[in-house]
Amino acid sequence: MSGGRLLRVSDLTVHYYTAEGVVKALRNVSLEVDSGDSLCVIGESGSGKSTLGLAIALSLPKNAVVVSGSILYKGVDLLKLPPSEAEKYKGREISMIFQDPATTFNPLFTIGEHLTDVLRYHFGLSRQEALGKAAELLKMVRLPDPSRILNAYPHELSGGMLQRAAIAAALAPRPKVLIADEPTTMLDVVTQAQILDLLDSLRRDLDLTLILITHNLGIASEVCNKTVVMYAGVVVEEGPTEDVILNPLHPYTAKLVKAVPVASKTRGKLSYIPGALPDLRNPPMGCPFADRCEHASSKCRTAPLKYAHVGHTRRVACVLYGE
Amino acid sequence: MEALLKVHELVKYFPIKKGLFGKVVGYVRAVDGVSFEVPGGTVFALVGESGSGKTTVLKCILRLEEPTSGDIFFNGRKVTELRGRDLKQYRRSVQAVFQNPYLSLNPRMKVRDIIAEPLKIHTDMSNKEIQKKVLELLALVGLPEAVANQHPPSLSGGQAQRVAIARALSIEPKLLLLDEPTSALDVSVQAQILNLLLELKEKLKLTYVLVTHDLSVARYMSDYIAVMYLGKIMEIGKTDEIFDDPKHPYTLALLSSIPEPRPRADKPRKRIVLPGEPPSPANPPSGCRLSNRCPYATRECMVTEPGLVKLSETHYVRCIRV
Repeated sequence: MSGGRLLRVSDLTVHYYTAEGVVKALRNVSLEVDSGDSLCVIGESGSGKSTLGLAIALSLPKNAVVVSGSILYKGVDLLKLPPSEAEKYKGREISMIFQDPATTFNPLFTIGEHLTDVLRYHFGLSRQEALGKAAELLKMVRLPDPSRILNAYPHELSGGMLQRAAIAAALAPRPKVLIADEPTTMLDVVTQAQILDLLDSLRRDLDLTLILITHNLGIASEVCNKTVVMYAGVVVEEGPTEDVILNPLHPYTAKLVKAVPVASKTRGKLSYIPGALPDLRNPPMGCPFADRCEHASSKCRTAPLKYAHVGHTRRVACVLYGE
Repeated sequence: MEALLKVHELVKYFPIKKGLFGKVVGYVRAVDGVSFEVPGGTVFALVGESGSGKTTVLKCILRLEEPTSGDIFFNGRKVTELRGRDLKQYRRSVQAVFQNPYLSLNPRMKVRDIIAEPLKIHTDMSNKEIQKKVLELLALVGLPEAVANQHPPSLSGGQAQRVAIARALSIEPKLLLLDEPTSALDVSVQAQILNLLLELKEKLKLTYVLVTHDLSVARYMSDYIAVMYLGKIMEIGKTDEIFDDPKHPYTLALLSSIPEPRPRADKPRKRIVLPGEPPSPANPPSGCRLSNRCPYATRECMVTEPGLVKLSETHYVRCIRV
């Protein structure tokens, strides 16, 4: 299926400078994405999953500093590009959609104005050409009655329709990589199923590579072939989605899987994860999960995080594996 | 078994006003003839998408909205007619926990004062007794005493929701209304809160009405489920009946839409995809409310509004195919 390495993130460390101190959002994050992959980044609040997405999309906020690491896209380190060169990748090769589509659009402009803006910027089309193209894009994301929607303002559309329009805008410059950050979290289940179906079929039809950021293990299981699990700014586990979810290696993943209620199963007591996320201004030396982990020993707290490879496809940051 | 809460033919229309003089040009039919009973000691879940009317039902039970018509009975007494002292007594017996604790808790108040407030209003306990009770309540919901002097914004989402639960339980209600109590929380925290709620229900012999859009949460928590769509109950029954033997196409669509962690090999039971989006409750379709999206709809569905059909003592479905 996959057609060679497209994206390689190595040792990426990102800090945010805030009034409360320096937040170490990502610490030595590495991952690889092949062309045509659908990769899921799973994590809870504070795991760094959104920061990772923003970093790859070259859209980190101003108070973020990339301390070290590289993001190789087709062999080019995106982080070393001068701003004028980076523009050729940002949005054009790598595009992104977000949780709340209402904040993606300017409420004072119609959907048509947004889409034609993007098309004219990237392809230098005339207004008429751009409008025709915009209508095609809306059809592609299965929005009925494109001419009406082109003239509609964001507040006139439902959440599901807006998210479709946001996908259309993100795909307008024909990117190779689409990063979707919690794209269905604000939507109802039936609409969520529609949007996930849409993303999956667009990925196939347009030969897209999809990076889906979510906290929902079910979504990962249905949409993505590979999964990366993040916790407190580090990757704790990586592998084929089915293996990661059905046979988790890292104690954090294992606990997370057991904490999710499943509709198709009757009540067995949910287990939960005691304790809280470490303070990311001053993250622990060793494993960030050690304080909440029942298998933790003193070694976990002092030894620097090391990855063990399990089989050919899996990687886990836990002392229980490897040697 | 006498029901603790009985909702009978509840209707709530919100007028749509237009123009300078607020002429009423139509109605949003948020809740349109909803009936159900909640036996004491059980968990009753109202499940549906946005706009289904589930939260409006809850608001009517809380008397935050006055129903357009219909009745609500609590312990055999008509809630809609309660006034003065009786209403205050009722409010003591029925408390609520909402979705976002950062919005439902006053950020300028200390946790101690937040939990004490209902006690000051509803009891004649002395200040000393109240402070003692606050600490007991914190322990009950699994929070350390130190939290008492903090303000809500400094708490984590899970801690803040525990404070909201402690406040609701402070005056020993019989019925707790839970409006999406874990939707704003991370999954690992969600499990803690759900387990806490189940433990408290056993310990304090509580009854819950749970509003949620998450069927997995409903399955984990509830004994009975009502599936709502555009202000009507489409299917109602024991939780096992709804999950093991769902009959309404809308219930089937909801169930097959839930993404679940499962092996690739056992892909979902036949997936029922509803096209489009729910119509506006101001202008519901004629006949069955699902008729314009239902894959099985016939001409008759567009014309006749089906009634609830009884399948068992507890299981009812609103569909002509049954």
